[in-house]
Amino acid sequence: MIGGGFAGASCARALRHSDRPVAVTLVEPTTPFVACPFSNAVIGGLRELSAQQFTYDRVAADGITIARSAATAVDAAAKSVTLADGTRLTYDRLVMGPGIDIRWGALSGYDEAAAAEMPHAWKAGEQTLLLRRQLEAMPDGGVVVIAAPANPFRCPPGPYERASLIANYLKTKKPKSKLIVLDAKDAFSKQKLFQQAWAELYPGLLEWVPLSKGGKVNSVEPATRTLVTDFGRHKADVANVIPPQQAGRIADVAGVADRSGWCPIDPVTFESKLVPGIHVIGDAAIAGAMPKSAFAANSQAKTCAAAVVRLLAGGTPSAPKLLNTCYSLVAPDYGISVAGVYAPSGGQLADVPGSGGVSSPEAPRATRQLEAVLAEAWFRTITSEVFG
Amino acid sequence: MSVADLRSSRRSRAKSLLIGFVVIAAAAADASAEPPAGAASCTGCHPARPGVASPVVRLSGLDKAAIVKAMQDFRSGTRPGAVMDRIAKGFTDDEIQAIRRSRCARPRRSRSEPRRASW
Repeated sequence: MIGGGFAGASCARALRHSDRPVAVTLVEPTTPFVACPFSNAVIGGLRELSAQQFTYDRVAADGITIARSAATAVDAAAKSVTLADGTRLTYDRLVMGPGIDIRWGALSGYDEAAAAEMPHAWKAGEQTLLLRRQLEAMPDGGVVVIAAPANPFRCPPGPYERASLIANYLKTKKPKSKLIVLDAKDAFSKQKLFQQAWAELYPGLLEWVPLSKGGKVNSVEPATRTLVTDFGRHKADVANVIPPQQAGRIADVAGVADRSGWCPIDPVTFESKLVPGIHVIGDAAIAGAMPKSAFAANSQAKTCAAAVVRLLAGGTPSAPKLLNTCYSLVAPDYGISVAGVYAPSGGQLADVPGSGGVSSPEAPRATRQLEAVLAEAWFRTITSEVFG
Repeated sequence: MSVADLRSSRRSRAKSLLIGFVVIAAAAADASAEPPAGAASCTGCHPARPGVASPVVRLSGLDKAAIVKAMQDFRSGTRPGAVMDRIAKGFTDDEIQAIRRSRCARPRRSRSEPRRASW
């Protein structure tokens, strides 16, 4: 198992807990793991980063070998993985949950040095803290700009939850300030619910600029924290650039990523359509209608583990149904959600007709409060299952 | 409304409102000992490990027929839900019945779990 995020750690443990447990090595160089869900609350000053950090102690206690080194090469013909420390591991089946990497340079001017000035904070950790510190250091009356990317990217509602919780911080601590979201899209996840809440909670503070109104950022100038669109230049006091992304680089090294940068998979087994014997789950996979979320990664991980166990026993995996539930906080006591049920259809994972959808736009405020409580409960539940 | 009010109000409406069961079950025709693929997605929201504070009901140890009934009621709309009404609509009758073989409804093998419906 390459990758120890929500996908990888879930799959490793599901393989160990199956009715026919298999030997699993989890390849993950970084510890502790830092969870992205709820990291927007860290940026907004509502939570500390320590609440996002998880060790692999309990994963190892399941009898899973943890290889604390990065995978650097995959030889699908020899069924082996080479690690940065020189170790060579052989496998019967390889599962990869490589997550995302930033496509440095895909947005003109945005390279690793630029991320130190205009943080992406799209991998939780030091970048999360950097963005928070910049917001804390900004004087009241400052301008914050978020650049949101075109699809596909990790966590489709994430930029808008982030905008909400930064707006909440500004409203509370720096009310003369302004937040502008420059978007490369004209539509986004849970849009109606977010915009309804923004009008109620953050009128005059948060402005969303869609693609059709000049929202697409074409280049950035880190020295002056300037974002350039077709329609003009936005000089920010704090600039959060969420850049274009691709599957984690080991996917490309292994040959399981296609020209889009993401990984096509079989919707029943999550086996790569490009390299037999390698399965890809989580944000890196092209999973049809399933979004790139932690819940989806966890659901895919369990499905993939069951398929791998069946394949190793010489059987044929049955068609799965998968789930996603994704909460967003618009304010500390205001939550909204999207849910989905997915099944293989036409070679892809498709929405099951008639199921899923977002929270009711007509729901009373008590429901929004309850969904905020459920959001936090979800985080505790899934992290306890994956890492606890 | 304060969180305390909310919790109180939630308790009072526990049987009718918002929280329910997530059940994943694959085709009923698959009668092997292997749990249906994806059969454990329910534990993304419904706590399976001890000590997790959540208003979402634990499935482990609950009566399987009650889980099936809840899924049917969420699907038909006779039972309102925060999320389960949207999820239950993605499952057929056979799939809901297959919950009886699903890992979600099994007691944990390694740890004894207090039987506790949090609501």
